[in-house]
Amino acid sequence: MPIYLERVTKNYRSGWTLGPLDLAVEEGEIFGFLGPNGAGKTTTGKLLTGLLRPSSGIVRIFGENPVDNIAVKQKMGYVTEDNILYPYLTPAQLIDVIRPYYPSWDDDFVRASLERFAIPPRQKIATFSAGMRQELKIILALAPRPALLILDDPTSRCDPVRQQQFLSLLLENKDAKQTIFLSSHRLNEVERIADRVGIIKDGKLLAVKSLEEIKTTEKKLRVVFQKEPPENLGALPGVAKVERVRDSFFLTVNENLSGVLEELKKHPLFALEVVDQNLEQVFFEYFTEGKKRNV
Amino acid sequence: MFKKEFLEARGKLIWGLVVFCLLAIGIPLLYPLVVSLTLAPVPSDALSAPRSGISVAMPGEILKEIERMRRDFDYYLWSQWAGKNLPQAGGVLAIILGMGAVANEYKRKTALFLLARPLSRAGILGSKFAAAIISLAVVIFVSTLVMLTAARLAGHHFAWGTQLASAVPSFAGAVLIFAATAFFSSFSPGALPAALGGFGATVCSVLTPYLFKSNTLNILFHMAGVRFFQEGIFPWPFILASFVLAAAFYFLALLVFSRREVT
Repeated sequence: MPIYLERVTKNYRSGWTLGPLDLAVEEGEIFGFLGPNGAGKTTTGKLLTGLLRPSSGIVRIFGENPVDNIAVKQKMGYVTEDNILYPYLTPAQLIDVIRPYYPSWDDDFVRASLERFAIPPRQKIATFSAGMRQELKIILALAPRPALLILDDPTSRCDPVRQQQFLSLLLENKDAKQTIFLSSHRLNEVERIADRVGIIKDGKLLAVKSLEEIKTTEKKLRVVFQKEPPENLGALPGVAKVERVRDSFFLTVNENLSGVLEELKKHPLFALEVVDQNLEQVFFEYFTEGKKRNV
Repeated sequence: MFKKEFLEARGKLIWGLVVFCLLAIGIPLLYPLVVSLTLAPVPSDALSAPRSGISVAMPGEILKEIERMRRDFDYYLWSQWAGKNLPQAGGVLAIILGMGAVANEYKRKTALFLLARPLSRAGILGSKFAAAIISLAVVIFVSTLVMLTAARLAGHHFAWGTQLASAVPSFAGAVLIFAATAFFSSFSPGALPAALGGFGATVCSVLTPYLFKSNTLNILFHMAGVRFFQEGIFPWPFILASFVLAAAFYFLALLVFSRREVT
């Protein structure tokens, strides 16, 4: 299994703690990891790449501990939003430095990608824009044809055109066995390519669901009652949140949709409609104050 | 990895070479001036006015020293280069090379790039040590050769072999100072604290004669190769001890670096 986390925690001196996290990502899967700043996305990415050691629990990448594990790192590509490239080197020099450590390095891909993103191979990285540096990092991560890609906000410094190019590059080069762990602020990007998503807040994993599951179970109902609404509306099983806008009640339902609909139909209604939610709406549901969600 | 380290050290190497070569060329060129000092008339009131005049700047021992330099060009070269400038400038260059070795990777966040790749930490640190040691060797021995060539072109005669060999203790000491500074760099949050660590360790060593009435632990004394030049005893023990201690600092630095996370 490409990624396996069991009861993983990471404690910081500041008192902030990540986890405990339990997560398994299957081969070939694209896993989207969503959360606001400071939620623990980058810390999770660093635990997966072995840059951090867990305070407790087990981190396994392809069944092995990734810390200082050269064999694991040969199968892994990592892109972070941080500016981590050596400014005094050119892309060609940087490639010369790292290429010997990857048996499956794809020179043709690198050449074509540098051309596609208009990255001059013999110009110092110090002169590049933030977007160009990010693209270079993505090319360097994809060049060894890694079985696992860990992407930590990879397009945060890219404009929308470059973001589109990046997603195309990612999907064009993904084979059936390649696994992608995509941590991102850009919900549209995750929604476009992810098979499953995990939502993290304050170091805790709130939910792990497939996009299909989100589309079928995460619903919003708009109800207009003819009389006063029932008092226990928010307590109905499956209802996560109730909001009132003038005469309409919006119920966020994350499970038991048919049960909730049946219960509502027992009351005289002017209107009852089901509103499909996209990932962005679901994401914001988790981060707005309200009732505790079922995980 | 060595290529990257060499590219990183390239700027320091070039600047080091320029500064060292300028210092080195100045020594034979300034020889006529030094010799002329002993021929300068001493003002008659020099002794009664201690705050001014040549007698204050050059008491008897120094005048004797200059007289020896005037008679013995080999002694002049050694006393100004291997005996003085080279250990001091070599120590400074070693601290400059060592201070950012590991600390800068963390401060610039390039440690994220390096440590997420299939590279061993021993290999990363080893490349840094190798690039720095080669840079020190190039700067120290090339500038020494430049000095000797300049002296020969100026028409002086001297013992090439002895002068070149006199630079070896300075090189060995510089390697040790580099390794100690790189060790501080392995746990330091930035290059400056590591430089202060390396500098502090060197100063402590230089101050030991005031405590123990012996130069045994004084690194600059050994780097100057005093006994080699004056008695012909090559300082093998110091050179071996320097390399052994440098290796010990490498392993200590590796131990710390191996436990250091990229936060």
